[in-house]
Amino acid sequence: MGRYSQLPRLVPSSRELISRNKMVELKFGRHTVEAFEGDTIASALYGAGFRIFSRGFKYHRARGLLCVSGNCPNCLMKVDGIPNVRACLTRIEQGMKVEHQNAWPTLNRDLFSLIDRLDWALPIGFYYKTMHRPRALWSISSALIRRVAGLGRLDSIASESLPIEYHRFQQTNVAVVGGGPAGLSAALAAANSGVDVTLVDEQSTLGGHLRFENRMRTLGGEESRNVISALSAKVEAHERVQVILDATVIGRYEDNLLGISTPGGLIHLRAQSIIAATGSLEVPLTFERNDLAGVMLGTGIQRLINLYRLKPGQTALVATTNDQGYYTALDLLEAGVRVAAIADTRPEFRSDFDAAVTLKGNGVLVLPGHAIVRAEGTRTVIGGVVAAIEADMPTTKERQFDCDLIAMSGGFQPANYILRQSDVGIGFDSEFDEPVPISSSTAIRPAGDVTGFHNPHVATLQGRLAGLSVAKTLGMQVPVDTISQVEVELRNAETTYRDKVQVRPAPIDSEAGVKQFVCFCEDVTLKDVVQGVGEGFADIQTLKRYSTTTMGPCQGKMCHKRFVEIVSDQTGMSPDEVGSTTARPPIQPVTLGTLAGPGHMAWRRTPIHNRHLIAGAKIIETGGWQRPHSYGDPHDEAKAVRERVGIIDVSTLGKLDVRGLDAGQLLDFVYTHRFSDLRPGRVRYGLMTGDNGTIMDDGTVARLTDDRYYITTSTANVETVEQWFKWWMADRQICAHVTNITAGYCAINVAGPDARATLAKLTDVELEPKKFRYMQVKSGQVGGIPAMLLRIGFVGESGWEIHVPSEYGEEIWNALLTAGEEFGITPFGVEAQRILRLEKMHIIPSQDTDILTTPFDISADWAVKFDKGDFVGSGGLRIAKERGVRDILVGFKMRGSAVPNDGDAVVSESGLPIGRITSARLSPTMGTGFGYARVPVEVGVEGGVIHIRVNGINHLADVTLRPFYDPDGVRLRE
Amino acid sequence: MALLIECPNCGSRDVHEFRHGGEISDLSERKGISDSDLELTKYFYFARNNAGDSKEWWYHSFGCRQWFVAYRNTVSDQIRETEWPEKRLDS
Repeated sequence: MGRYSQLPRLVPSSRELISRNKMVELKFGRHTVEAFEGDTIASALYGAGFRIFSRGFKYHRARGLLCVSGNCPNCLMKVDGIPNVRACLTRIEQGMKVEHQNAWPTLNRDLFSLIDRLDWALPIGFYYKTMHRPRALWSISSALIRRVAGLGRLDSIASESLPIEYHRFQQTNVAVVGGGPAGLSAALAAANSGVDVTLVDEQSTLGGHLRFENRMRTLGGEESRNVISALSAKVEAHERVQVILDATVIGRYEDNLLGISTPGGLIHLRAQSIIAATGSLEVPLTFERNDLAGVMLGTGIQRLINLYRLKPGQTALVATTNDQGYYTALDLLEAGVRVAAIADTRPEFRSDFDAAVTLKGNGVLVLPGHAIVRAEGTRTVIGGVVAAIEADMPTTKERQFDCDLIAMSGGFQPANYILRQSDVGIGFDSEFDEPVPISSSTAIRPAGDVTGFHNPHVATLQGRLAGLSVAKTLGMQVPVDTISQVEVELRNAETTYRDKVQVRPAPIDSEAGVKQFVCFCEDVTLKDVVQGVGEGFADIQTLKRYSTTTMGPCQGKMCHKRFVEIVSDQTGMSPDEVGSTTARPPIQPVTLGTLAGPGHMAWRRTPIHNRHLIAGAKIIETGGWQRPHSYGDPHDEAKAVRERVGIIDVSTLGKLDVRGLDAGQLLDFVYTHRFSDLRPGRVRYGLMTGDNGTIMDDGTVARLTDDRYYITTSTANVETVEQWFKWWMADRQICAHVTNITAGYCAINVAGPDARATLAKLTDVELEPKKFRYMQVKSGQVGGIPAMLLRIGFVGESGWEIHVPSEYGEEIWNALLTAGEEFGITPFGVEAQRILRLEKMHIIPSQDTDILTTPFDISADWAVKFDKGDFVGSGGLRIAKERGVRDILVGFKMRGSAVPNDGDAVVSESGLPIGRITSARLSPTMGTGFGYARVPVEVGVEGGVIHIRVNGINHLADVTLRPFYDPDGVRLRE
Repeated sequence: MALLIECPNCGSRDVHEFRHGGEISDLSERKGISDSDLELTKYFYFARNNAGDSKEWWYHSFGCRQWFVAYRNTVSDQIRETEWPEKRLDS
């Protein structure tokens, strides 16, 4: 518990990302830390003196900052309840709550670190070797391992307060991934040639590695940092370039789709062409205790110095296999850190290498032909030992240096993940000691450090060439001269670089100690990997799975290069033969919330929705719509329909307009009975099956004129039915037009003994039983509104469905309520409707039928017309007819007071399930439970008795095949 | 699945706008009332599921709402060609 403020930072620099006059406070565990705006969590904590940031996955060893670029697991923390956040990329905010992970009780004193002393008991593959016997032990041991090993935990409380992450779908001509010198040059060249460019970078500012390092002090005669900021400004201001920062490309998918994780959510970016200017990652060296806090990648140190102006230590030891270590050393000197020595694996001091000469001139001890063999210290570095190399192995000629910082550079791993997720070939370049792209593709082109050339001059030329070539491919006028000029310039620059490049991989000495970590994510050591190869896992893909190397959160970013080198060394295969592991997405860790996005269900509302809300309706979500369940008591509403008059908003019904020469032929084909003989002005019930004869949907078909039909479908099925119609039209070449007009029409059902009297007040259409018969359709004005009146009766009373254009919905609803006031008109909801239709035994497809139900199973034999010739379902229905009905849908009425639930079981006398309840309700008119049951045909007979299991108790019910209410349909026709 | 599909009416669109409608093969050839139970059963329940070239129905549900025919390689997911079903019947 305490308050920490920042230790003095280095003198201000034009490249720093912090605002020194703005302070921000965050919580780190129980501590309060004050830091500058612009700091990341990592730089804020480092600046306040913290050195231990996490504990190892397996051994719980103390870990400090390593890469400072979001590519290693060392700074994963829990931030505002979200686990595994990369502290080095996350900028601080006022009041942010940061907690450590995977340590108990504290980061500094983690009791689990005792495991570190048990390493002899935890060899590679110890899961497979030790945990399989006795079997019963597995559940205990796996629970223990899960408690001790691993990363952060997700609080269920926190997940509720997580931000909603949206998905955005974008497209662009050219996507440039990476905003370093190559990416910026590519974006500018492409945009200047007239194509649209989207530039994506993981950092908060453009510039790539030139933001923080001085690999090349000048570019074309100017200071490289000035060149890059001018280039960034041009790109950001370009009208054809969209720049997306703080955005991580998590994968490249088919047809050039990039998944991009951003703070606001996931972007799906479809690009005609991609330029992969993804750069490269500096990787660690393996030596004893190479994981101590204070052992860092050189570029990580340079980020701390140049972006956050932190003094990383007092005395540093630098170990390198390439030029990069020298640039780090220069920055260290500039930051006032004493450089004890530079151990360089390459055998000779090069007097033509400016950085080396400068360092020597400043009194730095340069040791060519030396490798670091161990770090000293328990949790943080207190010293380091280097040894002379002979015959590719370290000798006993050792030198010790006291230091609190070790800067290492094991060379570069190209960030070639999106290239490997495309058809670009990758091969190993032994001069560069790196895998490089060896074949090209028009869909994706590499540029910059990812090609193995670590030189900003080469990078800018590669970028420019890629940008021009892409523009040309996309049909832009790009002068051939311009392209060939850049090509010549690039070839010269590449040759110059290649002539000078010198890399020498560090020796591999598994005897030098058991704490030489290869994989920091999964705590895999050099000894483990060597042993794995020794046990026969010589193939990199199987060794990966056996050892879990490259399988942690960093997905091999820190360990892949060294992993390949070790396998190559142990097997004698060349790195090209060893190959690489598969680069699957996601390239960087991504939360499930990001992938899932927000809830996608968009609920539709009817034109009368607001009326229902004002009337106090209880709204339910069903079939893709929000509808009134009831306005009060559903039983009162049902009663009102039976005794007086009720109205219900049925705008949710699917509505299809079918017209054209072959409209009748189409309907004859897709429904089980005939419609071509339906007279205009008449309505007929329609039942639709698949070709196998099982029920798909039902509805009403009204013939308005000779060549025009108006069809209603179940609420949830209209989309399916529309596609179904159109599919058969396409397949059979039927000439008709099907239009989905569901949203265009509002529909209201007015039903009950007083429905006619209510409606008569509003319309001139003759409603008398003999003038307007059951199953007829007429057009006319209702309350001055053009309407279509269908006399049908889902709820079993005399009534009309009034269809009007949606914009008149509210008006006609109000008019009906006013007209019916004297009769006690009552609006009713879905629940009352379900009770009423169940009393009439009208089915709801998918509720009372399933994917095996045929029309014969619901006793709708009358709706199947085999005599009309071929139709959809004719084959399946013939088979069903010949086979006979096995399970039948019947009505049931409870003998006692129990009311079953939808889905309850119908059981035999011995208690075995033989059927199920498809719909059940308490009937307000009968006062008992009743409904629909699907049962074997032997018990599904008039007067039969079935047993229904309700809440574990069997109850008796009587079977009926006739509707409970008005079985002869007299009231419908009145 | 991340894929671009060339709708014969609307042009190149994202796969999310489409619905896949099954293969067009000898097994999907329509059978009716006069076909044998065996033929009907094969038609209802079997598909070639060819690993490789496949001729398929696709529906542009978030576009022109029309069915068309696509030739897709089910292994590489490359769509070689799309066309209206009229052409399919002519050929």
